[in-house]
Amino acid sequence: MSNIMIVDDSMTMRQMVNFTLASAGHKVTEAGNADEALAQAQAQRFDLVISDVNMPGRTGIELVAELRKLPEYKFVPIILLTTESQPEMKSKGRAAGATGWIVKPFDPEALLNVLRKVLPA
Amino acid sequence: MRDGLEKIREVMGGTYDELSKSSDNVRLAAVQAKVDVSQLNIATMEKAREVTTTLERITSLGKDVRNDINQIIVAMQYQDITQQKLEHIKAPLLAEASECIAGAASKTRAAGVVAPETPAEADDDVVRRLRTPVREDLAPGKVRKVDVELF
Repeated sequence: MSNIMIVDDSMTMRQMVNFTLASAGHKVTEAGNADEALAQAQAQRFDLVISDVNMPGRTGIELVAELRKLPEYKFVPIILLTTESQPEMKSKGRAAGATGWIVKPFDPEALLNVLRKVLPA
Repeated sequence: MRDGLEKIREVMGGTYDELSKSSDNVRLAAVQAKVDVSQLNIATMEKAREVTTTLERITSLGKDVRNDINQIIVAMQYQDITQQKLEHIKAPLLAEASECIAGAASKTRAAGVVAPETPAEADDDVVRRLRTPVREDLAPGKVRKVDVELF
């Protein structure tokens, strides 16, 4: 069981990801924006972070960059889950330090497969 | 002495008969027990087969339920994405629409014409935008290739 944080301004999306991950036995924490996510990340250590890109306030890419500045999140997998699919955006995410990019709408099985790949065994 | 020996022979004969009868009874009981155990084995195997079939059916149903849930999750995401996109364009569209309507109203006032009841030309642009089809890859029910990339 892993401790995972999902960051998305859409409650429906958070619930969908939460349901998928909780069904697979993971512990899930939700954050509605980047600031909330940063506060949660400092309060507890997550094994994985899944974040939307387009959110009010700081974007998901900015959140990745902020998280990478924290020593305890230097090597934690961070997946960006977004409707954006342009290569330039993906490059920005990669440059910020994201581990992977999943385009919404996500397939629950595909999401769990990605998690199996990026989470430490 | 001879009488004594005869008596012993008679008693021995009776005992032998009794022993024979008892051994026959034990043998019959053993055969019956063997038959019972065989029947029990057959019944147990039958039940095991039924349990296996039921478990297979439950597993298959579980997979179907899982697939249905996955489809619901994808459908709800489509709904959420569409709602977000509509919310995103709602404010600018409304602002533009009111601007166009205000413009058209001032033009008709200037020309001394009463505004028509049918949608004015100005509104047509708004209607046209609302009727613009959703991106094909985001249309509900469309089977989409999963876009996943690990860096």
